[in-house]
Amino acid sequence: MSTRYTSERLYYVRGATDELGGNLPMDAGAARDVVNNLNHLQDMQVGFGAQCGVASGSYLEQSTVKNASDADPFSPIDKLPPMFLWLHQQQDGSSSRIVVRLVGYASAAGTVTFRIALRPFDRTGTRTGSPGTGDATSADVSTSSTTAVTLSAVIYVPRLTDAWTVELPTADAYTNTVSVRPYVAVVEVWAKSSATSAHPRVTMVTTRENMNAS
Amino acid sequence: MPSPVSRRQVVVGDGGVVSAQAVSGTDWQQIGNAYNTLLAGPAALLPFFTCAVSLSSVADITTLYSVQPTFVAWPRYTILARIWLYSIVPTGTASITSRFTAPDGSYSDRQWTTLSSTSIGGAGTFAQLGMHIEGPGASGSSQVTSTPISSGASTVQVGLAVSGNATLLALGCYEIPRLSVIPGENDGLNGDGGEEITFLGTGMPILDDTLQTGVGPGSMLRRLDEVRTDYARRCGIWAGYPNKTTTSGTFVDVYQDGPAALTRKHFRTDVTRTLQLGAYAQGSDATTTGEIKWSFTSGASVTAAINGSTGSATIITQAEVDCEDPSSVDGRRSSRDDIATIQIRRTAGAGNIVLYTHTAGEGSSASPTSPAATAAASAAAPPKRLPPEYLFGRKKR
Repeated sequence: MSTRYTSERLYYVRGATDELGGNLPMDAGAARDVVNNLNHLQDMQVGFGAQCGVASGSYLEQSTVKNASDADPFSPIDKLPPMFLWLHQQQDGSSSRIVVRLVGYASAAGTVTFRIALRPFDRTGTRTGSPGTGDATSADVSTSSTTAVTLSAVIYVPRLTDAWTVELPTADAYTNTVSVRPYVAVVEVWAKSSATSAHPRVTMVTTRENMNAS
Repeated sequence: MPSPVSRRQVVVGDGGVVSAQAVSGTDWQQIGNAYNTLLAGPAALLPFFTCAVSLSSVADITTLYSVQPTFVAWPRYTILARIWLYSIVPTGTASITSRFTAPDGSYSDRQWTTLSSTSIGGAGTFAQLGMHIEGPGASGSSQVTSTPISSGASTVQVGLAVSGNATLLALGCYEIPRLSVIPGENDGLNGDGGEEITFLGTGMPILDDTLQTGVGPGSMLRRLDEVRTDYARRCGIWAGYPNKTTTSGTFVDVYQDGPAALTRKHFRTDVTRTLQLGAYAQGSDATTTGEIKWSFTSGASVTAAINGSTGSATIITQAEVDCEDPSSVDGRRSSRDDIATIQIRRTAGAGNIVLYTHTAGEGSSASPTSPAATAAASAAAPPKRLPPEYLFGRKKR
């Protein structure tokens, strides 16, 4: 028998609480159903997302493409702002997994690579450089298509440390000074191209938390 | 203080709750923690969505949002905050203001911050990431009840309030408890809504709720279905601010590629769940009317009327869309994204049809427990504390 922190059933057991009666002992099997229901609700609660869409007939583009031989060939997609993503912390300290769906293509013949990265929140919004290769908090997806294709990736933060928290102090109109510290990531999309004439283009980016309790 | 976003699950199997074995006091305490965390979990009201809306002076964005029925707490203000995150490029000195319309019809303006183009690196080259925190209303002693989108949407207007222009690149709003659930502080005493987990301590007897009115494990577990329907929802699945205008009599796409929807799975046989759809759209004059249509990859489609300028701009409807498949590697059902194609058209008149904003999220149950009624009941009859003779077990007869 294994130890689980997530739902064994992967669904909510209907009627489990009907077995509970006032002043009656509770069967351990019924308790297990109830606990699974609790865990399932928490599994499903994870699901925050952030999305970027563009108007029909348009796209976001990296207008100036670096040479592929550049020491750091990645640069941001123009006008695609960093996206905030609220993260849930899992039982082992990691973040929930972030499922990325990016619809993109190359403007001309060539291979474009999109790098989706999670970073701790930075109040200044200043981009300090492209995210590193092989970092668990980023993923690369590539295409040579010159028409829109859907590209998918899964990324997560192996261990959510204090660096990933944002201290939110007292709200206005409050008299108490109580802070909360949610985990907040900034999702950035960078790109590179094998040819300077092949501009990376994006029409939709979706990031969504996923628990994957299976 | 631990983050309220941390999960608090209960172990099943080895070292936890096992069939045919007694449930330990430690397990019961974990159950109480998990339950309370679900009640107080954060919610995304308006998930972060890029919009690239050009704002000139006093150009408001009006949108809709759905909230958890409420973390049943009294007074609510001490535990809840709304966090606004935005990305904006001002082209001159400007300020942005949020305006909330409360369920009672009143509203309050709150200035976020004053922005200056000179404060932005490279004269507006980069967006400024901002954050604003506020309560849902003025500080007070009574509970605020937020209105779920299914029974009347709340609206919020966000716009430039003074001189200057800016491009609002993206916007998001989250609701979060200011306190984590701490035994003895906000876990059930004094009508604050959670369960009294100090009574679920290791080595202590588990008492039925007939001995602890409304706060025992029995009541907690019997309310679990209410938690399923009304709490821990995916309140905001997407939100968009397209400002799309059309005079076309046939449907035109709002986005090049639409957003995807994925609701929670509830019961074993569920493959779809209800998604609440909201929009804020209007004709440019009284006689210009139109329609908005959502079409999903899964096959669901719903069309709603857009009124002329003298009618209501608020549109609320529903669609059955894919629910999550927990057995798949990324949660998608049938390895597909249930993508919404959002379209608008004009059906009468000679003016423009404008889609300002649209939202989607899971609604509450058809007849949720009234938070106001719950709060009133809590205030009128706060949970009873056990008399001393019960503190070490059941009362001796």
